[in-house]
Amino acid sequence: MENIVPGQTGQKCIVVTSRSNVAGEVKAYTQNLISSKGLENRIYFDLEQGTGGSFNDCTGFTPVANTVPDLPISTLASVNRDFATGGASWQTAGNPGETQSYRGTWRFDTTGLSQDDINALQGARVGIDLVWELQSDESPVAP
Amino acid sequence: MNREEPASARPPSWWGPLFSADGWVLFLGSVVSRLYLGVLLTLALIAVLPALLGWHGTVVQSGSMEPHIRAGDVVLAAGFDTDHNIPVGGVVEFTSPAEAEPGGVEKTRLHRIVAENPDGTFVTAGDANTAVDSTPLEPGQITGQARLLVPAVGIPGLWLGSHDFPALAWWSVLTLLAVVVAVSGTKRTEDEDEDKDKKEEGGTTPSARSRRWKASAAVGIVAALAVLVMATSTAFSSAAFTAATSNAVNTFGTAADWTPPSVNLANPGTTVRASVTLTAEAADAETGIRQVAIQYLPPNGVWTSLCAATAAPYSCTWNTLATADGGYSLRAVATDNSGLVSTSATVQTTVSNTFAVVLNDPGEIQRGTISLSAALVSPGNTPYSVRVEYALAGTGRWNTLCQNVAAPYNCTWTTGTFANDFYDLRAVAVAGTTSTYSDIITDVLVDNSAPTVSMTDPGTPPAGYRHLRGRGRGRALRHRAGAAPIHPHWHYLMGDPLHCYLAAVFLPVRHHRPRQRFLQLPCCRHG
Repeated sequence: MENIVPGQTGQKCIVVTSRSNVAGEVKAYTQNLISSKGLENRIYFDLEQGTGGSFNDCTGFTPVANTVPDLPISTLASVNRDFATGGASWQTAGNPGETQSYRGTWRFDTTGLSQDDINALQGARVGIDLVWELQSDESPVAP
Repeated sequence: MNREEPASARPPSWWGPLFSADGWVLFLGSVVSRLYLGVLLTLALIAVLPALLGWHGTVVQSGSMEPHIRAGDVVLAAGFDTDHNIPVGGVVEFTSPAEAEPGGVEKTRLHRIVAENPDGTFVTAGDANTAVDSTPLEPGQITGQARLLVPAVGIPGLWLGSHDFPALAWWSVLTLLAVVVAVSGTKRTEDEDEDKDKKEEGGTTPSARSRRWKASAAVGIVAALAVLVMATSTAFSSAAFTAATSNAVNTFGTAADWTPPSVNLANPGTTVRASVTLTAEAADAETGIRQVAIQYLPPNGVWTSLCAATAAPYSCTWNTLATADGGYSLRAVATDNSGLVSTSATVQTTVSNTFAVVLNDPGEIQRGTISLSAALVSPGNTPYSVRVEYALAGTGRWNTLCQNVAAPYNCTWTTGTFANDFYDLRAVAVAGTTSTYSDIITDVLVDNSAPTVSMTDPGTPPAGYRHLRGRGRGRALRHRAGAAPIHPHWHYLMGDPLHCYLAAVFLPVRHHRPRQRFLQLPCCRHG
């Protein structure tokens, strides 16, 4: 997202496919936070699970679960940082090709900031990786 | 001692020697079985004996540590003081909390430490996984470092623990068969010969002792294997398979500039005329000013740009002569380099291309301290000084009464210092070398003395013909008679049946009340 301004919000969807042939659990978490000027505390992100939608297009997406509330990405980076602390759990049955749709909603919230503080966020750029990790105790069957 | 063969005994077949108790098949089966059992028991012994050293073994449950460690292998781990160096590169056994496990149950995990994090935690990975474990390892979680690997010995226990009963049943049958073959596949002929001899002597035969020993050995082997299976069916260490995919570098870049520029248009004055310079101040701290357009809005018109300045000072020249007189609104529109636009507050002004100076008329007769005021019409932005001048009426010899360099152009005229006479007044607006004159106010009479009026009393009651005389003195009275007597207009007024009035009225100069003298007379009838 580029050239975002205070109050702006947006959504993106992604469909994650499991190619595993053993049952497992998929969790989503964040990694590699890029901070700048405190903007990481003002970009809120929420990840919902659901059905429908496609990559970069939320048309037809129907939310089913939202286990982690929207939080600043700086907070997500500290509380949802690995498989153990990840959220949006998805139990896979071990059928290759299983899919799960996710909708990410972000918003640029400057509530409580002075105008000077808001203006200080101009030109900032932050980033974060979203990771979906599957773990299984079963040994996958060689195709 | 001779032995007779039974008459009914069949002649030996070609296969007989091969499968007989003394045959090669049983012999080889016995050898293989014993080898198998020997290896199995040896491995089991290796897996058990280190317990005497305080080591503990777990059966690897999955294959994420392949190719070095496979499912069913028993890993013997030795506890160590985590205060010492953590073996980066080594395989460790650690407790993985429930939330870090795909099944949501706390487990013992066996992975390799591949790196140390700056915060004192460690990165682990399964050898077969392409990705490292996302959950960092705290030193306190480590329960031991892998020291010895006993291959495959935990497979039966793994089958039992994972409820893979068919595989366990097959293995059990084969192993029991191996036990039977191993313990029964011994030489029988010599034992039987000895048995006959012992029976004849009435003692215990070697065959009986051998069978008891074999039975005991078989039971012992089976018991040991059962213990092995049971012991290895609960102590598992998992080595979870991990696969991850990421949607990397989700970036959020804010606009370089969302603050519109500041802009303010200087007020050119309440009235403008001719060529006027309009100047705006604009600033944008983030990206700078691209341009500033200065616009005017004529009466009942639309906003029209005068110019667009791209560099400070942001000024435009407005030639008001090209526009009609009237009230105008002015504004400046600033655009910064991000395209953000700001509009200044509107400034009101009046275009008046015709300039004039006006002196107020104080009246015809003045006495005492008089306030005079001059006003400028359509002065524009030009600074003017205004002086008020006087001259004796009709002479054209002007003298300065007072002067102001800025509005309000007021002047105090003290008539006591002037001779009683008629004067002309005017105002002069001066800008540089240009003087503009007001209309002349003529014949303003300075009369520092009030007029007097008198009338002779004809006597009461008047009878016959009487000569009445009224006198008026003062420059305020008509005829400009100066001190000379002025003859009045006579008026006879009926009051009531008994009285009537005779009035001598002296007419003043214009705009002043007449001055009159009343004389009360007894009732009389005129004409």
